[in-house]
Order: sequence, then C-alpha cells, then structure tokens
Amino acid sequence: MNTAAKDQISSRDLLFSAAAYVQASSLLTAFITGTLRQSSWVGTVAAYALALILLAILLFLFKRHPGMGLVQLNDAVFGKVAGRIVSFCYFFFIFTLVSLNIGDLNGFLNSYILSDTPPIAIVVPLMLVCVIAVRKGIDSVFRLGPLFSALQIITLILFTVMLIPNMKPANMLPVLDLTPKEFWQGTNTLYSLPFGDLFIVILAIPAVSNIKNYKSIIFKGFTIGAVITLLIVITDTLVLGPLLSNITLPRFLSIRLINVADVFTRMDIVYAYVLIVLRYFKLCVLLYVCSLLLAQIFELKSYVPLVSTLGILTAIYSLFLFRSGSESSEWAANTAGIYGTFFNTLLPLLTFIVYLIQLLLKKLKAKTS
Amino acid sequence: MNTHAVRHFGIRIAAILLSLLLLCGCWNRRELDTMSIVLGCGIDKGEKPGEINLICQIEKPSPAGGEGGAGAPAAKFLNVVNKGTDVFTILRDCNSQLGRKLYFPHNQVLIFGEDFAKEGIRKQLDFFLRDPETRMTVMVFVAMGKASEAMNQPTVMEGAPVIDIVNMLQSQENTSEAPQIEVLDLLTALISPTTSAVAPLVSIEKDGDKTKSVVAGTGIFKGDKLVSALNGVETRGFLWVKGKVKSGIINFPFMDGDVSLEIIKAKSKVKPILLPDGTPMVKVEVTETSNLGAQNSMIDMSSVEMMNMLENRSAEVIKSEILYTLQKTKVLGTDIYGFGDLFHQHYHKEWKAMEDKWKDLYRDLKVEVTVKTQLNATGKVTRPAYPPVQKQG
Repeated sequence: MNTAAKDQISSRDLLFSAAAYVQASSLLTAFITGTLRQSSWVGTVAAYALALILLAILLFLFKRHPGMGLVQLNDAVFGKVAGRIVSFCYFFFIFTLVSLNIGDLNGFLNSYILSDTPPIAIVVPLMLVCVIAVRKGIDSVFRLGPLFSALQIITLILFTVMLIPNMKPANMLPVLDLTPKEFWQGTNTLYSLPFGDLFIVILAIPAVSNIKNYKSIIFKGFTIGAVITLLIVITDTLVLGPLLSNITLPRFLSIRLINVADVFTRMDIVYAYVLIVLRYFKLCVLLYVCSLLLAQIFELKSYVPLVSTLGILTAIYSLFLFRSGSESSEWAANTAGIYGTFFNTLLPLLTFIVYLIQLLLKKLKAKTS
Repeated sequence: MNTHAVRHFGIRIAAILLSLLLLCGCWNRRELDTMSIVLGCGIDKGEKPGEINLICQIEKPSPAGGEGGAGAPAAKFLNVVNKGTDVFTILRDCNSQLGRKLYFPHNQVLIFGEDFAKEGIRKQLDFFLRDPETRMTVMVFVAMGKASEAMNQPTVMEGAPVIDIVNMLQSQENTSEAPQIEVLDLLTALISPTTSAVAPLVSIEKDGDKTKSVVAGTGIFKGDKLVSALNGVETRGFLWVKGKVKSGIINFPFMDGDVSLEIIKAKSKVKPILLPDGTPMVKVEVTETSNLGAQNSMIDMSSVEMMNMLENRSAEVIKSEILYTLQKTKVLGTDIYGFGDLFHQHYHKEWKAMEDKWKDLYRDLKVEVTVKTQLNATGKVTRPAYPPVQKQG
C-alpha cells in the first residue's frame, strides 16, 4: 500500500507535531492530580522516564525492521496469524482511544460552553472535519503541528506569568504524602495514556516524511510535550494546592482565577480554544493510524475508504462509551492505567522478548550448522 | 471539473455549513434581554426549620434615553427574595418570578446572614462551588444581622449595594481591618481538617436618621458554623501573621502625646518547628516598614534616638495585637492561621499522629513572635509646630 505523502514535511514540523500530540493531553489533568495531588509533578517525571524506556524499545524494533509498519513487524515476529491478532489488538486500542478523546472534548464543551447543545451536534461536525483532513492527507495535519504546539507554549508562558500573584510555594507541600500504591497508580495512568501512546505518531511518520533517523526527533518532541505537561502540573499545584483532588478541571479553574488589574480576566475561553485545536490534531493522527492499521491488517490497497466509516463508528462509540462524566473520570483514574499498560507496554514488551528469542535461536542454529 | 472533484467540493461545503449551523452556539444562545445579571447573592435563615431565604441582587437595565426628568432616580438594582430548602431549587423559582434566567458569571458577592452562618454554611454553599457559571473569585461576607438588610442599604457611590460592599472591602487595604476572602479561600479552609474558615463582616450602622453598611472585622467559623468574631484591631492581629497587612495606622501613646505611624509595607514568615520532644512550635517573624504620620506632642521625633524608640514601641504594639488575637483563637480552639496545615506540609509523617489531637495541641501551641520594624521618613517636616525647646546652659 502506498502511504507516502505527496509533500514531505520537515524534521521541525515532525518534532513539534510529536510535541503537540503529547500536549493535547496536558490540559485535562484531573486524572493525574486527583490521585497524586501535590506529588503530581513527581509522577509526571516518573511517567516520562518510563515512557522513554518504552519508546526506546519500540524504536529499536522498528530500526531492526526497516521499511515495515506495525502490522508487518508483528507478522515478522509472531507469524501471520498471531501477528494479525496482535495487530488487531493495537487497532482496537487506537479505535477506543479515538472515541475516548472525542468523549473528553465533548464532555468539556457540554459541561462548560455548550451545555444545552446535544452531544451529537458537537461530535458529528468535529469528526466530519477530522475525516476530511485525514482523507486529504495526514501531512497537511502534521504541518499544523508546530502552529498548535507554539500556540499552547505561548499561552502557557502568558498564563504562568499572570498566575504569579495566585501562586503559593507552600502549596507544593507535602510531597509524596501518598502510599506507594497511590503513587504508582497515578504515575501508571499518566504513563499509559498521554505519554505511552506516543508510539502512534511513529506509525504515521512513513506517510509524512522521508526522514530515516527520526529517533532523536521523536525523543525531542516527546520531551517538549512532557515539559509542557510538567509546567502545567506545577503551576496548577502552586495555585490550587490542597484543592487539586477536589477539582474536575484544575487547569481550567487556575486560568479562571487570572485577574490582572481587572483588565485581563475571564481567560478561560483561551483555554477552550487551545484544547479544541490540540485535540483536533490528536484526533486526526489517531484516526489516520487507526484506518492505516485496519487497511494493513486486511491488506487493502488504500486506507482512504476506511476513514469515513471509522470516523462514524468512533463518533457513535464515543456517545455511549460512558454513561456519565463521573464514570469517565473514575475509569480514567482507576482503570485507564491498567487498560493502557496492556496495549502500550505489555504488547511491545512481548514483541521485544519474542524478537530477542528469535534472534537467539537464529544464532544458535547458525552455530550448530 | 470531474464528478469526483465536484463531490469532494460539495462534501467540504456541506461540512462547513454543518459546522456553522451546529457549532455557533445557536442551541445555547442567550440573548441579553433574556438574562438577569446577578451582582450578588445573600442567604438568610428562613422562618421554618431547614428553610432559607435567598436574595439575589440583580442589575436593572437603564431605560433607553437616560434617566432625565424630575423625581428621585430609579433604583439600578432589584432584590429578588425567595424561600426554600435548597439554593438551586430557589434559583429556578426566581427565574419564573422574573421571566428571565439568572446569569451568574458576574456575581461578585456572597453574603451569609448571621443566623444562617451560625447553623452551618456548607450545604448551601455547594451550588456556588459546583455550578459552571459561578466563579471561585466571588467575595464572601458574613452579615451581622440579615444579609437582606445589608444588601438593601442606600448606596454611597455605586448603583447597587453589593458593589458598594465590595468596594468597601477593597478599600480596607488602607486600614487592614477586614480580610479579603474569596469562595476559593473559603473552600480551601472548609476542606482542611484543622483550619478554621474566616470571612469579613458587614454590619449596619446608624448615621443620623439613615443607616449604612460598614465592612470591618472578621467572622470565625468552627467547621462551617459561625462561632465568634474579631473586631478591626483583632483582625489586623490576624492579618499581620498572614502577611496581608498592606496599609494602616498604628496609634500609640508616646512620651507626652500620641503618635500615628503609617504602615507602608509588611510581610511575615511563619515557620513550623517540631521540638525534639515532639511538641509543635511556630515561629512568626513580621517585618514592617512605616512612616511617621502624625504626632501631637511637642517633642522632636526626627532624631535617630527617637526613631529607634518609636520603632521599638511600634514593634511592641504589633506584637501585642498578634498575641491578643492568637490567644482569642486559642480559647475558641479555632486555628484561623492554618498552622495545622503548615505542620502537615512540613512534617507529613509526624502529622498523622498530630492531626486528631490538633484542637488540643493548638490551645497549648507555643508561638514565638518576632517583630522587626523600620521607620523610614518623618514626612514634610522634621519638628512639630512648636517652638524648639531651649537647651539648658
């Protein structure tokens, strides 16, 4: 299947697109701060370190199988039948991820901005735009990555400066006033979903760039995204302190407190705008990779015909994924970590171990023969 | 243009039109003339048990063409009062009374009546915390008497009494006799297991044959129930420790008259210490800078020696204010300073054993207060308006 883009993007675009992908999850941090509280920044650093290890494993596997996508990689390691089953597991994970992201954005808009609007009236136009963008070519979306990333970085700097009067250094304490179980639960949740699914961007790279050595670009982009997330978590902790575990949207509330000389107030709309554009970017990348994987599993000539169907299915799925916002929050805090770990840690680890065993067996066979 | 391209073009146009139709917020449109902009809310105890009276002060739009003509100017606000057992239900009843939906994003004030505050504010506060329209920057007050009376006083400068009350609180920065407490601060105190919430007091005073609102003093809560109050000077004793004294006047007798020092700036440092035997102790260090504002004695106070004496005396006055308020809160068993939370932040492992006993620990808490003052200037003149004292030969 020819997935090469008509126009290749630059390494700078790729770097900031990887950052924008991670930044898209940095604005809805209640699932981290609810469990980790004032230790959220420690959990963020720990999750970053764990995610680096996972990324290194995946990049190693892709380097050892040049020119192969995820499906071909799984076929090579597990064999055709088992490989397709593993690939289908990844497809299911990414399919659900699209719906979860739609649900998150829909939940925010329904709760705070468009409370009387039926959810379907928000979801349908959103997915329609994503489907058109992905069908047109994912490279056009990647070209917007630096713009969206820069938008959030600039607003982050501005909001941090404006929130200085509301910050209390004592709010960072106490640190690590948690049981080990609480700490690892919170860290695992952060690692599994926002950080751990960065491998999806790697799957989209062959379509948008001819860069062979994208390893350092991905690591740099991920680091930028992780640093932004860390800064957001630290700012929210300094401003809200013990209220972190009570608030459904800590970042949103922090920004609502901004009042500079009675001139700069009510900045929450800027938050909403940045959240929408970043999530749109992430949804486009997820939808593209989801369609690509399914097309490769069934050996179709092109992924394009699947985009509309998957867009519709994920939109409908997002509407009945959770019965309520509180069910979604509870799932995110308690279950998401374990769910995500299976797909973005255990499966890649299994692939890595099986590949190593295969290498070892080949070497043994070569020695004996 | 081939069919494929035409179809794609059509789909894109359809997507744009659909987005324009559905995402402009038409479903959620709220025209200005269908909204009642709430400027302030008040809650009083109702006549029946469990009942409350909710007062919403709403801005009344000015009539077109201005307010010219003879006669008293029309009020720029309207107080809507309703009773019930739950804030949210009462607000919906207000909507049907007014024919417009109440609009909360511009709400600036939340006033609890004295009787209502004494019974507990937590249950009825929940709406103001939870609703997406309300903001956490709303100023909280406790009215000595009824909130409805405080919200119905003749206005001094502004169109609505609640705006007057907010302005009075903000001008308290000049005297530091009332704390500025937002809903966020109140929530932080209420969720703390040891810190007692506080709120500025608004009372009604007679001014000849009229009445007016006055903002001064602090209401102290135990849990969510109002238990006591601090007057203006005692409030300043509290604010010294919190580092929230911005300005004010320190008055004291000195030599053969009285001296008034104008506070220019002040800050505080509070450090919790756990002594080797496990006893908690708090060190409070207050640093203050002031100018000589006025004196009514004939002594020249501009000499270095006199300035040093004034500094020492003002430090004693500040320390006595702090200790007096501290002692009052210790007797009440209300940790309004948040010392318990400080110990939790700095000694979280030891805190587990202290948390349940904090009420008793606070009563016996050793607090070491150090005050450093600096007198900067004496103003435009050095000597008071007296002839210089002749030196004995």
